[in-house]
Amino acid sequence: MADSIENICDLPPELLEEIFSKLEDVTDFQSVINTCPLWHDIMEYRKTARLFGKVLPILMKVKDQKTLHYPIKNMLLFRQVCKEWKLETDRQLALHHHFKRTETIQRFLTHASTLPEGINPILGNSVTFEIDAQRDFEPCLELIRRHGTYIKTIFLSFLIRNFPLNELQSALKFMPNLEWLIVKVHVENWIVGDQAPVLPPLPLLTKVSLLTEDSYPQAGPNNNQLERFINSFVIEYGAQLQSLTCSPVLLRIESISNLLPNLTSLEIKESPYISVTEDDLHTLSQADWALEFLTILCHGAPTIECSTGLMTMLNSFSKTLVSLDLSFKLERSINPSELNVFPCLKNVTLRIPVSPLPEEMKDRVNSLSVRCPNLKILRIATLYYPWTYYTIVEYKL
Amino acid sequence: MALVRVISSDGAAFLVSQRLAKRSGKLKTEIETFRKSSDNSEAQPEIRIVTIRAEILRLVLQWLQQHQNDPVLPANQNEQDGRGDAEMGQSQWDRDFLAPMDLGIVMELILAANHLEVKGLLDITCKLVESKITGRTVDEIRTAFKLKSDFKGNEEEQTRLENRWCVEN
Repeated sequence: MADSIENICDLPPELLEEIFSKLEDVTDFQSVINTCPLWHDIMEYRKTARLFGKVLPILMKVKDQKTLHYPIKNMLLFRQVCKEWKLETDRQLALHHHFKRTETIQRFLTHASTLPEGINPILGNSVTFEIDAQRDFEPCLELIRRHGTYIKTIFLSFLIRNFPLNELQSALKFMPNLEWLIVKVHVENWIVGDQAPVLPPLPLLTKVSLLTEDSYPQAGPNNNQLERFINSFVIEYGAQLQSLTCSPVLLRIESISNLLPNLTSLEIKESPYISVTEDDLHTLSQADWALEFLTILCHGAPTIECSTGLMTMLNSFSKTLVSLDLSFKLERSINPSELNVFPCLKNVTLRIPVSPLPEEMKDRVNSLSVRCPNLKILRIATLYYPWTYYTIVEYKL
Repeated sequence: MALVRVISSDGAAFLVSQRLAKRSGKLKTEIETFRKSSDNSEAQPEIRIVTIRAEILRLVLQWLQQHQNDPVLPANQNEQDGRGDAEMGQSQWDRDFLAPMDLGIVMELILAANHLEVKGLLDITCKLVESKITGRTVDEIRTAFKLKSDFKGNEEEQTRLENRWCVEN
């Protein structure tokens, strides 16, 4: 074919423009304008709209050092300039604006009530509540009751004693458009009840993060409490969930694999008294999930051993895994023959105790990079006592 | 004089002295990493910056050259005493340097200065953007940044109403 186009640069500029305009991610847009002067010139007129998403956090950071906060007046202006600026501003507002006290919530409700019907007072679709006293929950619920239909992402941090789960149920009922639910609780402060609670249907919900904390050993009944808490979410939303963050207790729920058929992203977070066991690794390796993102984060020193069980578990996701973040003890070199090929794997972070020397460490994980032909970034985080500190070495491949 | 080759995303190579390059926190780290991993201490480091194109990299290096004898400011310097501004932000050279740039270029410079950890340049570029925003109307901002409103129907009015309770309180 004489007319065939062999090189993307042979395409007419109008067509390139149309292709580049479809890029959603700002980083991709940045890559386009940085590739060559021609591509830059084609997309130059979009720079001030698109780069704003990356520039705003820097403006806020630089201003922050001087005045300690970024003027809300400017943020409100940004929201009115164009759609892209509004989207990015709302994202930043959600990150920095938390509801904490009854007074703040009530002041918000009073002002919001002066707005005409059908106007979203939340400035975006994300809300964060950090509630640490029972008396602050009622106004929080009131806000959700009135404006819950605008909420797509909610972060509920409840550190309240003896807080019953059905209170949360009643809050969820008023957020029919919820896409991402993040709940942070101290498990021993919760009353789940004997019956598994019934959560309301939320058809758009695809991401759930259950950040459960415990501050003393979970003996018998309390462990059941945590399991019931997690179970209630898995039973109601399991079939629709794509992304889940949860305690290792998740893996001890009977036939958990079938309950989460669409899971592609899993983050297991250990707590002081609940660590990932060999049995949990076995359950994972048996799970019929097409995981693209897998994270296992330790609390304190990593306890997972560099065992055959760990390798079998990793191998079971070798076809689909794109990103892996793992805390484990690296006591020995990994033999390449233990691992499958991971064709899609791009990002790997390994969090390991400091004991091996850096050079040794590199040798020990080398086989991993041999088995991952498309690995872009390998980060090795060395953890050291008291386990909250770590240094990261990054290898670009 | 020890040199370093700095290569932009679109493949242009800049040969600069290591002394100058090390005024960028990022380049300093990269040069040191290169030293550690190279057996030959005479070898010339080569650093590829994949997120900065030649036109912008040239501006950053030009700014560094002009300011090569300034004291290096730590990235988290507290500037509440105001001295930082007087020393770094207000020189006539800087004003002439920034004057011909459109805001698209300035935004790219902010990203570059942030990535390369060049505090002084980051400060003056951010300040320039701030000055085009603070106290301006929405229309003035759109003109300055060459943006058009892409809100449809009553979306613009809705946003104004959403803002109202915040503006009034």
